[in-house]
Amino acid sequence: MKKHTVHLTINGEEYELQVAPNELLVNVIRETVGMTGTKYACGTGQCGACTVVVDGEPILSCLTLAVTVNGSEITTIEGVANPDGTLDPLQEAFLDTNAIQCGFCTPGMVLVGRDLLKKMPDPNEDQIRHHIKGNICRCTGYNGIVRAIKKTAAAHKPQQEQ
Amino acid sequence: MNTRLISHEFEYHAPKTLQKALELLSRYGSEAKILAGGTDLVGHLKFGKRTPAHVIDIKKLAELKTISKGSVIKIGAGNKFKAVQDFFAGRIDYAGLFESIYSIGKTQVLNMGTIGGNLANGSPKADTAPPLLTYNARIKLVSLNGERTLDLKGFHIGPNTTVMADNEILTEIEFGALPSNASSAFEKTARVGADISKVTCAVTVIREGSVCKSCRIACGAAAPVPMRTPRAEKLINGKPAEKQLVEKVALQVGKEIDPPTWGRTSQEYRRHMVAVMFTDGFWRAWKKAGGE
Repeated sequence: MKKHTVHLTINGEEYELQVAPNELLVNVIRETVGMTGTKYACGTGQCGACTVVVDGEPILSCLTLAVTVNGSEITTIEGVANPDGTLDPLQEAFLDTNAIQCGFCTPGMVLVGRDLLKKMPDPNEDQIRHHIKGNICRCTGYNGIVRAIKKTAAAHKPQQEQ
Repeated sequence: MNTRLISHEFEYHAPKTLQKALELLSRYGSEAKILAGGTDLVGHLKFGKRTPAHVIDIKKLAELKTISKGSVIKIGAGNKFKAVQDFFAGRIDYAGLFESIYSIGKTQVLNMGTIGGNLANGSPKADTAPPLLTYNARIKLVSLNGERTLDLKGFHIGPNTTVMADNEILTEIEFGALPSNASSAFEKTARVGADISKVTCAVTVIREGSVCKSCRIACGAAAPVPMRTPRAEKLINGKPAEKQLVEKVALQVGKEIDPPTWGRTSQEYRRHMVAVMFTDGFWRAWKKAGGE
């Protein structure tokens, strides 16, 4: 099977990789690049644990052939905190609201939550629950996650009104 | 079943133009599969349900991503669900199509899946098929030998089977504008919100005062193919929209579908639910079309 040269920008860093056509993006990120924040869980596009942001939109890396995202900019959970290690406001809110128990869904939840806040700075509860529909959490019952997103939106309101 | 990787090996092609994609498809024929959003095909590759020697990626073809307004609406088959959902947001006439995509729900799937893939995949459960059937949509199939435009009705011929030839690509979906006193709705039942449908029902109504001038009904996951229910439609076309009549139509929709016997959902449940869903969908569409 012929390998393809793929150029990816992951969290601002450029990578040139050789990938086989049948390699999944989730495995390239986790195993070839070595960033294990992106999780593999169901492998069938049901749970959202493998979510990464490709060219500004969250997608499922377990249903994406790595070769098809050649030239793309990718953000994984490792790219969310600031370079000095301080957390993104949504990550802080996840800690404050007990939105994390086992933590397996958290990378996907944070990426999808940030996507919502980017598109809709002040979402209501229904809009939050609809946007995270593709991300399954088996521990928290979602309430903490919804509160974290709400809290981040509320904290950013005054800034946006200035 | 290992869903962690794809053990099947294939050659990957990323043609820059539709013409190049058609040339590749013509060369490899039944040995090739088209990759659009990947949400179905990549799963099928994992499970060994499809074992193409060649995968032709049309994800980035700009030619398939146009949407044009006007008296005929034309949607390029390569448009992501998200783009189609945004395009029809807030429109009363095509609310059924909007709702069908909204019901798919998952942010990531809306960013990946395409409207063309949803149809070309041939699933009887395709959520966009019922509303499009009620718009009398037509689809354009293109090959190196030329193009043909067909009614969507008749495109699906069995579970996961369509009339598409091995050398054809679905490039466009088109339908005529609805009059101003028309609206549509989509109803779906599934295990949980983000699941694949158990049964769906789309309704398009054209109202003339208190008379239902035309009622088009289509159901998904209700038969081997997405289907219209012409006998039910006939009961109400040209008649005043009254509660008793709508209930009668609903029962006929339940009788007319041909639900599968396999799977988690029984035939009886599907027949019962589709009647309930038709009733809800009819009245929602009727009210949106200005009816009482």
